[in-house]
Amino acid sequence: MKLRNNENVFVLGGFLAVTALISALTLAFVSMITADPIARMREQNTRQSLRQLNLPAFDNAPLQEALVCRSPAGFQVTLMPVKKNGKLEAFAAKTISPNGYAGNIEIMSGFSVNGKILAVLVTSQKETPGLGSNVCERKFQRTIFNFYKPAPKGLPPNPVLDQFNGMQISDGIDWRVKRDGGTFDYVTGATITSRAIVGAVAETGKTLAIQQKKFLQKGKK
Amino acid sequence: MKTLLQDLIKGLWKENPILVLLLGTCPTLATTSSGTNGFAMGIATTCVLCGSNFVISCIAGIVPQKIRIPVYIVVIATFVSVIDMLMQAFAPSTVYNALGIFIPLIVVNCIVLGRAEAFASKHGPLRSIFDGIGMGLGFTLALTLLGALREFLSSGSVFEVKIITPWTTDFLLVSAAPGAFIIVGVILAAKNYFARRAAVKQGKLYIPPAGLDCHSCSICKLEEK
Repeated sequence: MKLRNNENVFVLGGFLAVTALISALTLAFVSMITADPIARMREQNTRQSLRQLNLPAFDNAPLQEALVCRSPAGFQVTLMPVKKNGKLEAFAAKTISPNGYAGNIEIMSGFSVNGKILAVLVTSQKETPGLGSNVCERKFQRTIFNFYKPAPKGLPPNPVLDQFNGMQISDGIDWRVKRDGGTFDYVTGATITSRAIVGAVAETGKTLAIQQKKFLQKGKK
Repeated sequence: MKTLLQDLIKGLWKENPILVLLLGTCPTLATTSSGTNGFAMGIATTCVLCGSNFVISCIAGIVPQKIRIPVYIVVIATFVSVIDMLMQAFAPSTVYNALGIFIPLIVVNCIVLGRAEAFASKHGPLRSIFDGIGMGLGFTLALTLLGALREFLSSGSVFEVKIITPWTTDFLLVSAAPGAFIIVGVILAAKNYFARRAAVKQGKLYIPPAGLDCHSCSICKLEEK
């Protein structure tokens, strides 16, 4: 029995394969030409976040002196020393936690030299808009009375992210949300996101405690 | 020219993808937690819809009937990924941060596939582009309306500007997907009620627009003639 072309499995399969091939080539091409601009954009974003971390004034390029390492739980942590006139002033850290509700959550945090948390902010997330994303966003609340005024300077408040401010990483803090028996508030409906952020900050603190010596030794040289 | 305009305008109200065709309910419920989110999702979908409608109307003649759906899906997915990468590279980071989370959702948006199947595969490229723009804008309109309504009910604000300052934020139902379902239902009921009443007043029977009920929809018809 002879099949017509439009019913022949091999012809149809071939057509699909060609379509997929064209699409893959297009994607490869676009991915190639956008790789550099995307990397540059990310770097620019990181630099912008650095400025928001309540860090003391610095004159080095923290991104260039970054140390990429693994936290005890295997998260990728990028530690950036913040220096003024060659003297270590503070640390900035970028942590990627895989424990988000949808994909990775990337947080940036600032630490003073003795391990006190200065500020925490979420730089990249794919959480549910309106629920999980509320835990991550720092936004100035506009009302009908002030919507024409420019936003005040400084970091807008966020009840979950602000809990960490001023905490000492070496203190015996239970790094869990209250629901799990820890010390941190969480947002109902976004427990997984809250948990992921608390976990990420805890991991960053632990990593910093382990790696801190490297920077101090470097500073002496 | 007149048909082009009709293609554009019908998507806004008469064949509005959310309020009449009831397509793409998943991203509608998921992303309309605020007016801004709804608007952003609508615009992103419009871009993809426009592009995919154009490409599909161009290739519709050579795609074998049996595998047209997978081919369309590949085209749409490619478009979404390309737009995602281009935006990541060249759009200002504030725009990407606002839109980025919604872009992968467009692949599973059945408006895009629905219009490819119901319109683009049967009409020329130019008309398909206009249909894409019209449908996209209709989608944006419905999403913005729904988002603004939900945002107002859940936090007393519209487009992130708080209108009623002491409004409670404890009304979690409307900001979650089930609440969106309920509100869409209420909007649909109101729309149907008024359409029916207008028809009865004119002494006519209320008939839903042709081609929009399940009988004549061609999306799920798997056996070919």
